[in-house]
Amino acid sequence: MADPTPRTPSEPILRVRGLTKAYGGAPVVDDVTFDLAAGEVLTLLGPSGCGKSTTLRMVAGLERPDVGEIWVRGRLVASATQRMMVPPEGRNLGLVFQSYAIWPHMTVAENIAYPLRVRRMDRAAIAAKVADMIRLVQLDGLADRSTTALSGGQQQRVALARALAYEPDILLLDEPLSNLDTVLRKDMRAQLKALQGRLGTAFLYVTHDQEEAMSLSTRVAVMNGGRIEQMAAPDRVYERPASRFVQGFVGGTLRFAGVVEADGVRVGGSLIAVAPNGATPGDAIELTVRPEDVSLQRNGSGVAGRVAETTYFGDRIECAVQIEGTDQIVVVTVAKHGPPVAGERVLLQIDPARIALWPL
Amino acid sequence: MAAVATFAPARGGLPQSQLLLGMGVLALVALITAAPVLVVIFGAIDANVWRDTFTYPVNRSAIGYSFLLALRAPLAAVIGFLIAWLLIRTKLPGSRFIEFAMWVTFFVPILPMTLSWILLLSPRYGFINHLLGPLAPPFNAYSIGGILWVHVTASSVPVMVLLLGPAIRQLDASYEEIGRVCGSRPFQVFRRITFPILMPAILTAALAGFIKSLEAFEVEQLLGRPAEIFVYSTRIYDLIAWEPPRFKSAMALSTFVLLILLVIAMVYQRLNRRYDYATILGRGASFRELDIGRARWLVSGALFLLVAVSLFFPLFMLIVGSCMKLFGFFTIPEPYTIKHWQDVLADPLFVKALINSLVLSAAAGFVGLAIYAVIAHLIVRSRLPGRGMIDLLAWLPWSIPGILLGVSVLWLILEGPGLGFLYGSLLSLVLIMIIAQMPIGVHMMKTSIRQISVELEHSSRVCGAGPIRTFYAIVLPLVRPMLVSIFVIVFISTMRDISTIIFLASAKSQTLSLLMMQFAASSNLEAGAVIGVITTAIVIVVALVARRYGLNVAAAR
Repeated sequence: MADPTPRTPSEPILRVRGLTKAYGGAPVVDDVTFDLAAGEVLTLLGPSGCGKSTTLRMVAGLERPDVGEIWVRGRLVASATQRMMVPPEGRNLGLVFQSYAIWPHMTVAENIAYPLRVRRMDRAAIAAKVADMIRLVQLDGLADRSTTALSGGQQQRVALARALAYEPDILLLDEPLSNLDTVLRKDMRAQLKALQGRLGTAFLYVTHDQEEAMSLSTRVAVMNGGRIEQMAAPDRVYERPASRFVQGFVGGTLRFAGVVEADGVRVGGSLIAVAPNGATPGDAIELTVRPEDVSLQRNGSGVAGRVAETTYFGDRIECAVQIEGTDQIVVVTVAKHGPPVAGERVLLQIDPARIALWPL
Repeated sequence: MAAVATFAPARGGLPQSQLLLGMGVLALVALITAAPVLVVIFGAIDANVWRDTFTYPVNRSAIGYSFLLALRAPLAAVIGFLIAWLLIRTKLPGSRFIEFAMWVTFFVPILPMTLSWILLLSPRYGFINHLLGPLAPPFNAYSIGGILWVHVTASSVPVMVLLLGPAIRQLDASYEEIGRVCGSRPFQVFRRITFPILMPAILTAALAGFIKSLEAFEVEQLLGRPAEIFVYSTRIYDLIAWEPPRFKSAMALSTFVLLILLVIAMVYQRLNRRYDYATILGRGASFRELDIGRARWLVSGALFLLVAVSLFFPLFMLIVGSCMKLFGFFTIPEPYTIKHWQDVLADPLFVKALINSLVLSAAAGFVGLAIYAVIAHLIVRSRLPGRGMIDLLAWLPWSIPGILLGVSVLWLILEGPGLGFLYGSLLSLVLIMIIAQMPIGVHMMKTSIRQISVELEHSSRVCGAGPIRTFYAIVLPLVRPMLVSIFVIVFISTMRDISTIIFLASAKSQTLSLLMMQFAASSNLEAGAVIGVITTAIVIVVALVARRYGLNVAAAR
């Protein structure tokens, strides 16, 4: 492995600078920059078409960046300005696709052995490593099974074993859990996390599922329209979203249209005491809050509204509240005992410290 | 670890090495596909030649006969479609056997069948004529009707059944089931639902058959010539066989035919545009067989008769013919002998031709396979500049009748600088067969490669394997069933071919099919029949082995 300079602990294992890629003139990835530290899990989170997969594919060497540079372990692997690009096979990365891409003409063991064979390891070492990996991903007894006879979860684990067998510098995962059913997905998510903790391999993880992103990542990069809107630890992304998009994409959001006043923001007939964040009185502003930071009260203080409709969901009851003096409706979850009824006047109590303001 | 690929700057954002590769492949494909067409078109630019060629009545009638005979294609498409539908969708006793027989007929060379029909329908000694009326023979093999009969039974209909079967299989059976529920009887369902829905497929098959029918040579040569019926391909043969060869006339005639084909292709496109629903075919079609009641016995009987008449009876008569003292003369004392078999098998010419045929067919199969696989992979997977052009060019030889391809490649070998060494060599035959089979080979490979997920290849690359290893360790094993099919098709087509190679072969590169043609044309029909039996046997054995192997592969996956 070519590694001319000794790696310092602070040096990132993956360095991406100004990555840009356009298809037919429309930018899909737009000036994306990030570092991935050893042992870290960085998740690219965003809706479909936000450029997260294309970013991952450029890191993998499957796409050629129009602009930007990529270093793996301090080695430049792609540079648009120098017009150089190390092909995927020269980057020592691991990759797990959403489709798993398990080769159907090979058995489980053959799939896992393939990258080792490519690396010309000797037979005995390959056999030992394959056995190790099969144990690691809990596929014991399935080594000589045809891959077409495997379940989705098993195929997923073959893909993982194959990608990890040669101890790649980074494991790239492109929506690896999206093809599994809900129960299996939760299970695999936990296993993936445990595996990462044990091996300490750096993960670059792509998903549209914010729960996966929150629970697995060291840091989350929320992408929209090809750009990273925010990159931070999961709790920070959730609690302190850097943009309206991030706020809306990560976690539930209640939105209120309001007007800035001298000592707060007026929503409908109620005034919320919140520092107006530099906005001048009279400005229209959007006020957002996480659903769990709102409680519905019959009396006390808060934003006044009237219950338009309640819907029973089994584990919870959702209550659509029309804000007094406006035609805005927000949906709030309420406890199951003694829910308000349609037409009842209620107060939405909001913790001012949890409110985010977005000038319009 | 693979080397770092550092590329010099180039236009278009792609590295120069890839640009060069793309251009190189494009140039190569263009050279081997477009060159023959350009040779023909430019060779024909001469007003005097055009006037001379088209004022000569035989040339004019040849074009007319060619297109008249080509009308068998749409006819066979409709009949073939009906038969395919009956075999696939209705409960027929013995349908699997009938299908198998059609499949065998598809591979059997047509020249032996022609010999057999001469034996049966010759106005002088035809066995059937003899039985029916010794005084006024009711049938004459040497006629337009005879030519049509041989083509339709031995080739056109079975080809259409095989070509259109997959389209019917893909059609979601629920379209037909709804038709039944709405109150239609099975044949109404066929006429009002299945047939119209699959009209685009039928049109395409009919067009393909039409163009391919211009390629037909040996039947027209054997059955048309004695009756002074000449068609395009036999006229070209005469013009080139002339001493000295009349290349310009042949090319003028060919250019005219190419123009007509162009017009037909345009009409086809216009017709096909009406059917923009062609993509609504269901996937994972449910598969139920319609019950057509007692009619199934009648239909089954008719189809058994058809395969008997088109395959088993002529095959049997061919074997009988090869063992006759005098081809077709059943009434002489002791009409049977194995002398012709002994003569042919002992003939060094035969041994040479047999070896040539096997070497040629295998070489065209293997080398062609490699070339088609690489080209198809480039077209489907690469982002090389000009790959769309490669795709288009790879189809070109398909529109060129074999005899025309032969003429232009002959001209290129004779006139092209440094190509003289190819003259009369087996290598030149290998090359021309690879070109001739390129459209079907590349097309089949493309279909197969498209079916494998690109992520299977990407995974291999990321795992550390280079493009070449990925190609042979991942792509090729995954398309293996298709590799077998393509090899068999190229092998058998080469084994049977006469018109494409007839101008290029010499005494040293004589093939079995050409030797058979030579015997047949020189009225040594008995020896022709012997070689016909041998060629047919080789072809059927190869097809059967491949079928078994292909089926095993399909079952293992």
